[in-house]
Amino acid sequence: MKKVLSIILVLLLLTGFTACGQSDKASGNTTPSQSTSSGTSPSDAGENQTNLVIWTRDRADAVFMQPAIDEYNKTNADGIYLDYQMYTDNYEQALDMAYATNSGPDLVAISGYTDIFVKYVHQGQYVCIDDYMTAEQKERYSGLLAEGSNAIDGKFYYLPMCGSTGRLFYNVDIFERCGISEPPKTISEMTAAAKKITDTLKGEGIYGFAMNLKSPASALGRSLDFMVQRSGGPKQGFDFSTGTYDFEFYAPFIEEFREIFTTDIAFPGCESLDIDPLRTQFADGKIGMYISWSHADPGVYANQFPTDENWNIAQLPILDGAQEASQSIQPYKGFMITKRCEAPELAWKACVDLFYSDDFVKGYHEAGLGCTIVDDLKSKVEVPEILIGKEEGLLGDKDKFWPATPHELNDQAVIVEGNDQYQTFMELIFGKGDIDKSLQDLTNRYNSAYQKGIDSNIGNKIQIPNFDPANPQG
Amino acid sequence: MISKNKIKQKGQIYLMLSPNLILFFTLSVYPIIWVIRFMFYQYGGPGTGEPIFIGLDNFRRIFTKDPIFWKSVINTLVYAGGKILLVLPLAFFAAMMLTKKNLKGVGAFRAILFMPTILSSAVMALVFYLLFNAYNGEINKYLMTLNIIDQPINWLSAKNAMKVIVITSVWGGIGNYMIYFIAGLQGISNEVYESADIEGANFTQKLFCITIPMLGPVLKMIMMIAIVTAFQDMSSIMVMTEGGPINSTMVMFLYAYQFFFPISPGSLVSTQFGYGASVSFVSACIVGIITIAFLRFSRKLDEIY
Amino acid sequence: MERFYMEKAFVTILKVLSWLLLISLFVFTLYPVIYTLLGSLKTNAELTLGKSILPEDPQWVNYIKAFKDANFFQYGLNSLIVSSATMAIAVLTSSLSGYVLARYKFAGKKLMLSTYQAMMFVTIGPVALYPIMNMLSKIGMEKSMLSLILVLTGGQITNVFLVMGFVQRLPRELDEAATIDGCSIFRVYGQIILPLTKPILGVVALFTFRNTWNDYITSLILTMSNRKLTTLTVAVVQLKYSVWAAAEWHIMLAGASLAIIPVLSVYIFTNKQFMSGLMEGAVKG
Repeated sequence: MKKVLSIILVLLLLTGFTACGQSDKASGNTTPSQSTSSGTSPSDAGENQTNLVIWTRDRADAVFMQPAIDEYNKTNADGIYLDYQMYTDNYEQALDMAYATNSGPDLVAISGYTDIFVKYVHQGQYVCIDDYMTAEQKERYSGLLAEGSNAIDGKFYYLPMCGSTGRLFYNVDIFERCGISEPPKTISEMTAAAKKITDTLKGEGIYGFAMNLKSPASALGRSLDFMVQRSGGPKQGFDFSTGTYDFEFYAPFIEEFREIFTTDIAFPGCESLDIDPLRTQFADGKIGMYISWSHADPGVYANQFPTDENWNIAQLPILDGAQEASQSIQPYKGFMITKRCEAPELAWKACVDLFYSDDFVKGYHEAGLGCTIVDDLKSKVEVPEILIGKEEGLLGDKDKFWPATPHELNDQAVIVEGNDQYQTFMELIFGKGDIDKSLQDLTNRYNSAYQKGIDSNIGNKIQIPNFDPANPQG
Repeated sequence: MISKNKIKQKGQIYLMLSPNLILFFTLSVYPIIWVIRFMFYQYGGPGTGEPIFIGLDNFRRIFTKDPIFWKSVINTLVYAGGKILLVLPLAFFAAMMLTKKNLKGVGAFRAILFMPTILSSAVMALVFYLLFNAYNGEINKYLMTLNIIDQPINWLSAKNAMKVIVITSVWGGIGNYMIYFIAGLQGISNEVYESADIEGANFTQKLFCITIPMLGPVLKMIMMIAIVTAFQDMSSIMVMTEGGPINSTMVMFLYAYQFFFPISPGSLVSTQFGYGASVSFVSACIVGIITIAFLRFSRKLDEIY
Repeated sequence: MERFYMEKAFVTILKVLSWLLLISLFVFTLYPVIYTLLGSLKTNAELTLGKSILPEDPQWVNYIKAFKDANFFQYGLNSLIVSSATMAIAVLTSSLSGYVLARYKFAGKKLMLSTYQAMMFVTIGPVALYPIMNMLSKIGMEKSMLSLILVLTGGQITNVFLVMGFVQRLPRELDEAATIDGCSIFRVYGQIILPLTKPILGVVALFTFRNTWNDYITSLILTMSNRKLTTLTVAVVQLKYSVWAAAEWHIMLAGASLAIIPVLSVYIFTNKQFMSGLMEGAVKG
């Protein structure tokens, strides 16, 4: 027993010492310069070196990002050292905690469907970059200004390098084997094609349609939302012309999905399917079609899940008989300077010289990692190798920036009681409840939440009287 | 002299309690007080503006406008009930079997049963997904080869997902409770059993007349731990189903959690500290009521023995 | 006579049944573990396609990748220090409190017990980290390893109760005699109580080590502003996910398989403590 005790004691002492040592070192770090505090700074840190810590959620493009950053660290003349840290899972949580405790990085990478911009910009966590931008830059990037997603009150907070939106991914061979000559253009064609594939090839374990419904918001946010928009409907339930929420438009879409998911047309187990298992099954030729982000999946089949299947990309199906309108672009891949950054000018310089430079954006685009949305670059970039023959995967003229909904502008302004829209859709798709009644109830709940937000001065009334979904920016 | 000793003793007592008390108050009590303040506010957490006082409105929402919460209460009861009823007897059984002194390799056997508790719940949930999924899961394959079923079962559907969650948690829990039981059984001296043997007591008699009564406070403690942790479990559910499909595996504390942090990167539930705090409070009250009921019940048991 | 045989047959059947049950328990427990170990040698596609439980061509490279990407040695050392220290502090604080609560009367004991009991029901999960981080950054300790260790140690409610329950079962005469002899409480604790409570302290040590080693959220948040302190579990879980592209599950399984080793070693060490009670009994008997 004495042995155990002594071991414990020794351990205690040991760790006590190391812990003190660590804490001394750490607190020594904090006092003089905040910006060098975190991360693994290189040992040969010079006198005039500025360390800038960048946090990102993306690991997929690290193969491209890291060498570029290493190169920049070696060659730049401003003594800037970029410390690129990947947080992947729990990125939002780490950021949240960092902001709440006044710590965190100098630069924050933003990518995709996330609320880290809107949520913290009102709190003053980010530095407005308008003051740093030259008149020339302002002119050039004016088309990228998207209120609520990279700008507030017409002022830029970051420049999105790329954009993405939803697309239909389909297996050409499976379609041909079932005598379907082209991808579905309308939702009823989609259901019919899915049914035909499942009926014909179910014996081989091949199904017509799949969806990553484990997280309904993630699945329907990349599919249903865009399909509704393209059919001339509201954006995430918000009708800009009336300035109210209205989910009635969704009914026929839900009907189609309900047919797919309640009559055994869909791939089994979609209600608990994550996007990655879905992709491996698609790569293995077990899925006829599915919907995902335009920029992400081509790269996945090129690198992570290599496939011999003959697949292609198509535009999303729309409502039968509807006029094709437009679907919104989700801007992504930008870098926000935080208020903690002690050298915002240098941070901005690093962004301009590296991330926002034409070479970098061009390289990123051509590596098939994302689709550039800078107008004068579009003509200069080449089609990425992995998208040759699959050009629908690039952004086209029906992909446009849409204004932000009240919920996107500030999620605290629309606190919905009960199930949110995606959870409600999920229930309906799996046959639970009356579609019209539930959608009506959803509309009411969203509008009362929206009104409550306006009444308590958290949100504002938004209305664009002559809003045209085909030309959302007016 | 005596009183001086007494004072000295009192001082020693408080000195010995203090390290734990300090940690307890700063790390357990203080955060809860910090959160409880928000129960009467509409507050989205740090970074979303100032808290707005709304009185009892959060509780109005819980009791009148939140069917998902009440569904999650039922789910929690089903989950906790299922887990406790399976895990405790199995763990007790394993502990009984593996404290036999004449059994060779007992250490290795225990280590095997303990293995699941080492794997992190994130990894565990992934593995169970791969085992149970509807399209190529191992379980369906075995059942079909053995001709038990002819169609793959959709294990992770709204109808079945809870069963899989319970199985996963039982798998992950047996090792833990086995160790608790073993530690408890060590306290019973062999002499008692030996004298019982001499008197010709059979296995069942020994179990109910010696083992269980002698486990006494430890058994009660283990059951308490089992109840409280089963009601608070959420990490494997979070990774495996995120509470779905259609909230069929949503449990109380996971439901509360999502108002503080997004469950998954794709989740778009707004952070609502105020509402989340109220949900946590009501959930804690429910667990409290159940535990008090258990304590009452076990006191009755004490009287019988 | 007949009754005797019946009883004997009954006992035999019971024995056979219980062995069958134990064996099925082993299979049930081991299968997913083996699946994990084998899965860590597969390619990502192989793993998710689920063709066979055996890897086609063992991908030892997964381990090299997990080693490199998770920075195994540096972060492993962090984990080892943090987990051992947390374990030591947990054993010390919970045994001190547990012993005092089981044996002595003092002002405020009832209040303390009921507060501890009440706190068992309440959980706010990682949300507690907001106020804790705020407090730590106010006193300038948000970057130290000591903070991480103390926060991971926490209130120890369950452990205190476990030790208390165990001490309550020990015959009072053992330590009372020593107290009357004039030993200080500390000496009674160190020389009598500690050796007697070995089985339960082994449990506390093991569980604390395991929980600390596997902790993700708290370690992530508390090492956020000083990445030198990153623990192995944080590094391994970070291998898992990328939101807009495929997760590397095979690497994560490899990392998780590697991370089993240290906890298993601690298990083997502490297992002796649970066993010891039995051995002593056997010698006496």
